[in-house]
Amino acid sequence: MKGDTVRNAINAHGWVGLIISVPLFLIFWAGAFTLFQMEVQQWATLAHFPVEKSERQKLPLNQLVNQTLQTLNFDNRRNIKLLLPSEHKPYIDMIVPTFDSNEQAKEVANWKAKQGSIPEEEYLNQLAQLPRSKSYKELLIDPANGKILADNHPFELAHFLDTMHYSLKLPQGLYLVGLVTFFFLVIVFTGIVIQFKNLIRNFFLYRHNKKTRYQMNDIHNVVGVISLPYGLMYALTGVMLNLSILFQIPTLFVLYQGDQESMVQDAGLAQVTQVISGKDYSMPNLDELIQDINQSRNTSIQRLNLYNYYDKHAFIRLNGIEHNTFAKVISAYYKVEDGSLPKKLNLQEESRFYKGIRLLYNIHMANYAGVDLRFIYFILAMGVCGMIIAGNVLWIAKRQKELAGSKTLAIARGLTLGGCAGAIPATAIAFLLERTLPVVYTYRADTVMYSFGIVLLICMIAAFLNKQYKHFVSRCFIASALILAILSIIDITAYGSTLIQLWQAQFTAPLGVSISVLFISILLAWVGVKVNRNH
Amino acid sequence: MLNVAYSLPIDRDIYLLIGFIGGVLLWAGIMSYFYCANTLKPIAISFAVFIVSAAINTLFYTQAIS
Repeated sequence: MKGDTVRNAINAHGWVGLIISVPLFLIFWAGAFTLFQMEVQQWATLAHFPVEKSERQKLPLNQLVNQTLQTLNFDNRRNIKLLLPSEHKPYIDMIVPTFDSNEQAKEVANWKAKQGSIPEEEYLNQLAQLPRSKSYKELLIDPANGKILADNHPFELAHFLDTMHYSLKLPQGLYLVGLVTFFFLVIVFTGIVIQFKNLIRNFFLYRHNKKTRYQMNDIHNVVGVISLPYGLMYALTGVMLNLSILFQIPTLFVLYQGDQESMVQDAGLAQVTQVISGKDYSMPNLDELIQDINQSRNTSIQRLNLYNYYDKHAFIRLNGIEHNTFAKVISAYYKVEDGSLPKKLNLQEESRFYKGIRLLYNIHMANYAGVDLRFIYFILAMGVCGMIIAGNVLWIAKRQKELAGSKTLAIARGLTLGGCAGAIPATAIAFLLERTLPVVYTYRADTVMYSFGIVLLICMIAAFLNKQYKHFVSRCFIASALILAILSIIDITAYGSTLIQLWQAQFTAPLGVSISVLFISILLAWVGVKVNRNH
Repeated sequence: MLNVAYSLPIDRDIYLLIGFIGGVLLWAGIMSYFYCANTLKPIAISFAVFIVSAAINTLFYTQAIS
């Protein structure tokens, strides 16, 4: 590799890395917690609504759905989502689309009443053109008696971190994250160019007695090389998941000449496009349907999508993971009118494109893995986060002398180091509020999310004002450790017996998360003190 | 070169999969190459290849819709 090439690669790597460092850090940071999304969700929910046994008598699903829908202004032009209980989660999550207003509900009902009085085709066209509703209700339901436990989606921390991971909770964030991930792929490539000759020779190099700049350089390089396959996989799959639209459009117009149906068939990506008929229809026995699919496809159905429920054109989509496979997803579309599984909609089995993409998606999400492997994923994600901070410190340390006291350095320090290290206390505060805010508080979820943003902003301002970047990083770590220590004390004193009771009832995740919080608190305090001593 | 490669004897679903993964890697690879380059020559060559590819695809597209 020529010297000029490496020099250009170092420049590109440094500048692109600095520009994308904050969003990239947030993506990896939130992604690390998303690996344990189910566990965090259970930790938040089960402590407030504990159950005694994991094996409980369940109400027939049809009865549960019917009695729930009776209490709501349900709009059956959109689909209901049902997340069924599993061995680790005792509740049903149900998302029901509702009319935006009573007037809108009346308008749709009036049109349905016109059935038969005007030609069928015109009737269906007019019905499809009525304004769409946007409202929905997110419910937490006890499957034993159908009782609605919460209807204000109070426990949103796990979902918030997931959304942060793939969209940064910003408008058009999906594409922004895709773009950031694409540039991450570019810095992985330029990183390989820079380190190509030293990949093995400098693998164990850590100059602890040298200046910060060399220490950070060594940390950045070693973590970068160790996590290279992991980082490459995430960069590639991240772009594929978030920027697929950039590939779909040219493929549709250039290869398929705009024939979307053929493209979707080749890709194995079916979608229900049928609109409601306006005719009422009785729904099948959902429990029996789930049992049939479970037996015939060797799976445990976890999720139902009920399209046009109560209508003649109703469809039911059943999702689960096939047993004894690499998280192979089973997705069956059931047509209610004739009780069939239409071949046109059940293409996944045949398309190798779908299988390949699904495999990459599984590797990305680690949904095939147990707690042990997800823990390794978590450590690697934290390693990448550490590498980003080390990279930022390296950039600042390199320019500390030449840009001393300048606004450029302060802004770079505030935006990059503050944005990255600030995410740690921001997450700690969000966890603390998720545990302590009252469940009935209407703006509970919003408060948790806004608190994250506010703490992050405060940290960025603090980093801008604080010239001693090591001092700032150390304070971030120690503050986070204190917040998590308070959370641990609350967990032990207020919820200790509940968490142990849940553990005995085989719901191990809540206590597991509580112990992890305590462990992370100790770890952060140790790192914070260590960084402060070196300061 | 989407249409030229499309005439290869590969099933469509496999072609789409290779195209999707390969497309992302190629895109990032070319960008990294540009960053590392000292002169505009490789960029000019890549741009010329892109123009030829776009012309072939446009030809296929216009023939198909006419």
